[in-house]
Amino acid sequence: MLMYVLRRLGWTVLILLLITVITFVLSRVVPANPVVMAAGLGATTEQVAEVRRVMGLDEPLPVQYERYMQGLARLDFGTSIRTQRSVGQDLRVFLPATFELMLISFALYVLIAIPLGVMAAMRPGGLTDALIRTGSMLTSAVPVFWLAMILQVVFFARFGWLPSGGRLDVRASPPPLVTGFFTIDSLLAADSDQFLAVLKHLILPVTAIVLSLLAVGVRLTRATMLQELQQAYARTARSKGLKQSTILFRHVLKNALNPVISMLGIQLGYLLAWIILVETIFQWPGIGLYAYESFQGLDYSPIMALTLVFSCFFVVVNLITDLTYPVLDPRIKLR
Amino acid sequence: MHTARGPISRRRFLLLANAVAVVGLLDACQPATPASPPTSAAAKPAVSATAPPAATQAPAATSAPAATPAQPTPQTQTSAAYAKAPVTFVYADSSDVAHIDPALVVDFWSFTASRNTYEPLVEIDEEKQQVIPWLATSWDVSPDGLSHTFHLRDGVTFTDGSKLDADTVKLSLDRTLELKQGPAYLIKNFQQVKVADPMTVTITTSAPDPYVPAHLVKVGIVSSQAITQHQTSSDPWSQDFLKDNIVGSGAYKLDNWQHGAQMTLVKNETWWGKWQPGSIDKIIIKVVAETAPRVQMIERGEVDLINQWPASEALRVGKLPNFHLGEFTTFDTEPIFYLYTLKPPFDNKQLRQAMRYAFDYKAMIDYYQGHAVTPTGPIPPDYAGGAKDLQPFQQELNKARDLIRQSGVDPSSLQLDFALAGTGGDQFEAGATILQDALNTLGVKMSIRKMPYSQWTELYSKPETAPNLTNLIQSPFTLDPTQFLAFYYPDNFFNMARWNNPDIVAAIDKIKVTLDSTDREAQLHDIQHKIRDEAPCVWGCRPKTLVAVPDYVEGYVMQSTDYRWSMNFKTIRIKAH
Repeated sequence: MLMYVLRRLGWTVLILLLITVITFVLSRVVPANPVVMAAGLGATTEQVAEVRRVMGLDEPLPVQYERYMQGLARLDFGTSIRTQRSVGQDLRVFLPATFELMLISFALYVLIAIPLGVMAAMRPGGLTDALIRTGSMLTSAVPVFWLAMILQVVFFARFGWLPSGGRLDVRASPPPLVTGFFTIDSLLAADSDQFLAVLKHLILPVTAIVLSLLAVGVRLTRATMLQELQQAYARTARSKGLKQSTILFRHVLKNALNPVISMLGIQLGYLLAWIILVETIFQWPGIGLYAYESFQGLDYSPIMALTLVFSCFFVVVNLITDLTYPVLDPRIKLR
Repeated sequence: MHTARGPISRRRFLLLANAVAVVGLLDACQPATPASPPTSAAAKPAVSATAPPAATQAPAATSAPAATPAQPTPQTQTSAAYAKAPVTFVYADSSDVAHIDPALVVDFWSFTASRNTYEPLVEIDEEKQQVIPWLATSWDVSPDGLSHTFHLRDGVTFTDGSKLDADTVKLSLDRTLELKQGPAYLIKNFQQVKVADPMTVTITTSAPDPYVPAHLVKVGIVSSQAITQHQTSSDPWSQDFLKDNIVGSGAYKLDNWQHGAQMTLVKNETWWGKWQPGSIDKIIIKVVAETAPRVQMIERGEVDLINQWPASEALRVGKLPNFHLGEFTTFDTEPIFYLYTLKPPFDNKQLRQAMRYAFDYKAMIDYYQGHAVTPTGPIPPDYAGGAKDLQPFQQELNKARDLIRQSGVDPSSLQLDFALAGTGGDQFEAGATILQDALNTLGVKMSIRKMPYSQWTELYSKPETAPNLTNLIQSPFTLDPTQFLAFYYPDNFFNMARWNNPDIVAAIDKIKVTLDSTDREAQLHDIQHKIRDEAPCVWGCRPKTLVAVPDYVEGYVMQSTDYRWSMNFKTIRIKAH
């Protein structure tokens, strides 16, 4: 197992190196001039040239790449053209907000989707099955940004039950910074009111994300469960008189979960990419808005950093996914 | 489909489910109940305003003897009518502050932070549209116009405890010049900044310049102690420190900045100005990028003011109980269509003039629901130096046809390429389609390409790739009318027409160094006629700025030379509500 992990990590480094080259070249090759935006509406040509010089963008591409890679070795992701702040600093501010939203949403999604899939598989063709399948399809069929806006219109604008967005009330101060996860930091600060306020602000964006993901997890779980329920061992267990719940949860579910875990891993990886839409609607100060503005303005350093972060995350999630297979099915050996 | 109780048809189930969903959605889509503060009042009629309440501004003066310190506003209401301290004000802004370093600010989100925390030597009186003393109480100009001597205000303290003096001003100005970003282009003709005495600074320019005070409005003064204490060999101007810290003398100081989320400013207790009852103690600038939630938040009373109101929403919310509509005259031309003059077809003057007569100005005003005026030329007539005798443009299709004929260009051969930069609002897209429709009636085809801003700027770097037309905002940044004309300078990147008329450039250069105001006015008048005649642009519309303001908010002043949407919090007073 250890050798497997080390080998995968080795490949990860090579993949990330390749990604830096591709992203660097593509971002520079696209005909665009991000410096002009940073210099401002009244800037003279001389001023634009000065901003370009300060940002090191007047140097040859290989020199720029070499400088970038040297910085990367020190975990220095460069400076944003737009904000002229360290990208590393920006990521440390924005990433925890995104990860908090993402991980809570995904955990909830898994906790809801798998049981729903199991319930649907227990009586295929029944009313429960129909409701679960139709409901999950409906919520996943609509674009997530539309769903987010509708939730906002209904629960904030119409009824005023929930906040429109943000991580906290506008007048509230954040908890003392430890992890950057407001849920954890407020608990560590023993501030239960703030913890509840943080949870309240999570409800709408988490709901939008969970509902958007639901169909895939529910239907895949249902399908794999139904397949496993047809297997000989399941029939044997039934004929031995075991309870349905025992058959499902002790025998069938473990075997059915492997494909589900694979899909969950891929979904988690992609979630980091499209969570931008949810963050924008709910003014969630995460990587979403930062990424959107960076890509709009072709801000090279944040684009490179975000691409690396997203790639790294995707690779790590897939590694973790692969490592769960032997846990669920001891017959599987990782080599 | 089967259940434990028997079959249920798929059709029946789907019908039932859809009915439930539709009923739920219809109910949810009813208009929201607006926020209703305790003091209810009937919806007030729109208030047209160009005047600030002058809560804390010094009297207007130019090269006058030492002005008196900021005068209290003559109060027409008692203190009891205003909210009791501490007053917290929440402002929803459409984007995060990019820079707080006054030597780097270029956008109005950053101006909101910078203008309330750093102060310039002189300020703008928005009502009178003139420069007034601020950190400098007065200034003298040498007869040859090459030297401006500023006398500094006593008793001004920065938030780090250091005092304003001539060395501080010199260091700030030198820093701005050296960094060559932000407002540096406004003062690039400053040859020397000299400390005449501890409270007097003399600025020498490379040529006579009557607009030095107008330019200095945009240069915030930073504590010299802060600069010197945090400078390093690789960062002699303390840029790293000033990226995240504000050490100004302004009415407010930085309390907290959660990047991407919100910035909190609090009253600067050492500020030299006078506070009025109801003034704000704490400002929370919250980032709400999307327009819909921003509007919902002010309707529900979650925030006290928002920026970048779409006209339709401002009009709607302005009619609600407990809101009133603020309608402000602006000097912005939005959209302005630039005709690329470095290649055919718009190297042809008559064809350019034809475009001017082709555009449907009325349709553009209709887009703004009547809250706009048609421009007359490069400088609005109500702006300092604007020519008063120029008539608003009008669509005259016959004249446009005549001019096209005279140009010798066959309109059916034209395939114009219009590049729409991705940033900005719907007004640019609307303007482009209005122009497209108008040109269609003349038999001229125009295609519209929408693209990211950075790609748009790159296309304009070469004539081969530059589109034939684009649109932008033309917005004054100072009270210097030649700054307005800067859009016609060949070295200004945002001269998207790339128009280079040496006579016009020479004329603008001459105005910049003409000290006699009458002579200057005459030259400005002539040049506006010439630019209008040359038609490098089509000046599409001058929209009014519409802002729906809660009735308990008094003193909102539109910042006409900060691209309209930055905020000046020190003029705001909150009524008891």
